[in-house]
Amino acid sequence: MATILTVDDSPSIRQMIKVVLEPAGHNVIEAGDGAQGLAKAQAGKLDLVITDLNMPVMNGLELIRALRKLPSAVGMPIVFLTTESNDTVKQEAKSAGATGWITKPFKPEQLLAVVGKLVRA
Amino acid sequence: MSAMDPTEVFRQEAAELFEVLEGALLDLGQRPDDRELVDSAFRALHTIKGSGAMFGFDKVASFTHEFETAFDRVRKGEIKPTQELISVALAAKDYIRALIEDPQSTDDIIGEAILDDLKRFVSADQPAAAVVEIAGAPALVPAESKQAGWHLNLEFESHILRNGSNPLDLLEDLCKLGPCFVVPITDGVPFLDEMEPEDCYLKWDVKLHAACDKDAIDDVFMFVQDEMKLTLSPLEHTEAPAQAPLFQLLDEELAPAAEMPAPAREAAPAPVADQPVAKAEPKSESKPEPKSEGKRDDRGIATVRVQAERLDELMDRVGELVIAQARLTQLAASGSDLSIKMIAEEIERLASSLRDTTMGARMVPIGSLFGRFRRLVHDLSRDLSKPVEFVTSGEDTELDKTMIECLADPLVHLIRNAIDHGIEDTATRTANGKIEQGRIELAAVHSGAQVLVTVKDNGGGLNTARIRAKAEEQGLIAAGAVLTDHEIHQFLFHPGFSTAQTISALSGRGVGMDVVKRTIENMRGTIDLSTRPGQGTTVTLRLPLTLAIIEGLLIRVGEGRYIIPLSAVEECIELTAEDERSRGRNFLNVRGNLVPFLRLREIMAASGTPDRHQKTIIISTGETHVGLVADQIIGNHQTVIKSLSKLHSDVTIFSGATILGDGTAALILDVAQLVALAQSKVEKQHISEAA
Amino acid sequence: MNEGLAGEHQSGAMQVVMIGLGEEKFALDAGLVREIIDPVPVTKVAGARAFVPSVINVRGNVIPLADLRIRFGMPQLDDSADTRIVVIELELDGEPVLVGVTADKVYEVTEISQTDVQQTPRVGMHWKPEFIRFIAKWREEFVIVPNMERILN
Repeated sequence: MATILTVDDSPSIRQMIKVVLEPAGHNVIEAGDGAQGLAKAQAGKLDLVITDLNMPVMNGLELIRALRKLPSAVGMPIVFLTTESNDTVKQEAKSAGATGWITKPFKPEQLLAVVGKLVRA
Repeated sequence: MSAMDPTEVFRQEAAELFEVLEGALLDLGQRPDDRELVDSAFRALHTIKGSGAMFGFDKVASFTHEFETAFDRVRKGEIKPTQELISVALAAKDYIRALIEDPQSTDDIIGEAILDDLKRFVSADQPAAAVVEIAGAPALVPAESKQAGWHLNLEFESHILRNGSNPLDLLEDLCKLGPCFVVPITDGVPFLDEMEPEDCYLKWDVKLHAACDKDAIDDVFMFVQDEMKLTLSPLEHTEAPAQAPLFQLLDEELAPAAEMPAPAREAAPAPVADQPVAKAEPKSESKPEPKSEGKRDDRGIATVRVQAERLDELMDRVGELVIAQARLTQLAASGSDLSIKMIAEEIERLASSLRDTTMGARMVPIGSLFGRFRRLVHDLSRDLSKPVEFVTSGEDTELDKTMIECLADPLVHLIRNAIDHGIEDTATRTANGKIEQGRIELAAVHSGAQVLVTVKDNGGGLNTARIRAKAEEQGLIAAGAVLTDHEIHQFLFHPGFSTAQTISALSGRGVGMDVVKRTIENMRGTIDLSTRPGQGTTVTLRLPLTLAIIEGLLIRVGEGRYIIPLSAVEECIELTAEDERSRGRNFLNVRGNLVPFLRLREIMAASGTPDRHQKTIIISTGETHVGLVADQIIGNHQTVIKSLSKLHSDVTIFSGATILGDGTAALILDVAQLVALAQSKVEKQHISEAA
Repeated sequence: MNEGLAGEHQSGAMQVVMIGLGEEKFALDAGLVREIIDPVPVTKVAGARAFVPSVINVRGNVIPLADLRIRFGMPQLDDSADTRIVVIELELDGEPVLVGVTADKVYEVTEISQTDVQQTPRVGMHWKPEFIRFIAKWREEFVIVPNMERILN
């Protein structure tokens, strides 16, 4: 259905996202840091990016800013994962160009609900 | 993760719901007008009833149904919840709990008596509620809703499209809540040549004909609420009874509103079968409400059900991985193969992030524990006729699940003490110009790698003179010995030390404080008391975040290597030549403060010659500082804690062991014990000097 | 496994691991033995009782290393090429506990039977009778079957 890129340095988080979204019919591709994520985004059309903020090489905020500069990513929803419940992080990520967020830890339903909000059949 | 026994899932869920219910009922005692509390209590009841029926707990379902029915006038706002009513409701809750957890212990007659009481309190003239058959098909068919709805005005910031939000999608989500009448407002649209193709110029006026929860609407716009103007007003509807209070229109909606959206539920994989109740709920309207980020009901949302032993196993495996990784790192560092070094670094990073993830999965908010004490305070306050306000904060503070379990008993004890002995009786309070109602604060807060849990009362404070007299009587101190108040208060932690002149049935401050202290220290935590005469006492527990892996400082003493928990380390200093010479003395001068110190070489009976430049590590528990003198400070070490065998249970200066990168075992120093050891040395010196 | 002795199988037969401590031979109930490993670096535990002076790492578990020679008042020998650690599992106060036992030599896993059991302690025994379950005869030699629970408690 939709092609979704998950960017996270934790393979277990990526795996969790994959096992939740693939049965829902999505095509999930993975990247281990922001730079890899950006490369994958440049390589093909994506419907949604789910990225962690705290990552080596290129962090989530840098990735979001870089993605927003890509012509192919105009209007593409970007969701970030955060463990913070404070609004400063959210504000910062939003002003970098993020569309929404998922608070860690999250349940499969929450992930699906957010993806459902942003990706249309 | 394997699928768990659904009945077990229900039991666990019910246990949580009971806490919610109890919390809501107790709060209602304080804030009888709070509609949200009533709603939250009813939601919990409703779920217990529905799930109970589904899992074959028919008695639970029928009793809960009657409870609900009897309590209905409270829900309708027709009567206020009185203290008596709340006490009966709590008894009803306990009865349901027993029906689930230990049905043998229950007796139908008791259940009926509780219901009779409940009905009596609720109203004398209330017609007996129709007892409906409950099991299987839920009997509650919602009445034809007297639909009102919402009138929404939506105005987005112009850049909204660029960041991936689509107002049309949001409107679509809104339509899922109920029939919508949407009118675009075009007056903001500029001429074509001024138009930016990526900007949003349209505004919308929406009439939503569904009496859904405002939360459901907020949820639709949660990601864009800062980038839009949303005005929301209730939609007056001609058919709707004008007088109908809002909550009444909403209450049928509340239960479904707390659920997950239907499609998500279907697609969810097996492990998250934690809301089995959803399927048993009466579907009043099939309006899935995207509730992606629980803002209200966080506790339920934050729970993922995994068997506790699996988490323990996972932690064990991670511990082994961390140890194996340390060996790999050591091996890689000793060789010259660059690619092995890189792999070792990669594995180190992965192991450490896996460790964090695993530890995170074991963390439980302490609020689940706090909830239990509300009942305790309520009952004690009633039994002792001491009105007490119970305030909690920091419920979201997370601790390792094992520690939460271990904390329950000590906290019960401390809270009991606070009410029984801390808070004065009403007459004394009034005489001292204090307000009648006492206050107990239970708080949790993060502080570095530790969590501080405090129990604070605004009672009379500790009677230092009495504690001192008792200590002298028991021969713990010589009469006339010079001690600070703080030192005197430490006697409360001595086994069998009690100062309560009249020991009540509930507690005696001092009785069991040694047990509390030991429990906390077994968790590698510390306990500290502070008190102000006439103003109250605060007990502070400092706890490590987890029991499984800690940050440690690796040191060398002679041939042996030891770990000091980093959380206890204040600073490391080098012994000066003057300190070196002062063999006989027990104190170290640290910036003008005299700090007692221990030579670890002596304690460990180290052989060989000491290093020339001995290092001192200053450790602390609470206010007390002690220096430990070692040969060498090697560095930080990720310490996977292994417990010591029973055969070494007589050795108190070590709290556990770990495995180093070269595969050898190293012992972890027990900070609290070493501090106590240093202090006893000092005391002995005091006494010998005094003699 | 010594097949020759298996022929004498009787009701009271017992599988044992035969170890040497100094000049004596001890037969450890094979049911207790989890594994036999080469000597590993030991970590001294200050303040521990003399017969459990240290801990070792065995497959990620930190377990106490007991020295029966100390318990029996025998001289301690330096580790030799024959030295082994026998890891046994005991019930102490109802809980299973892993303990390493230093052996100067491990001979073999064999079987002794009730007929070999000598009820009377040999003359010249200088250790406490409560540490000994019984004495058995094996290949014309007397061997001690120690009571490990008692020794380690």
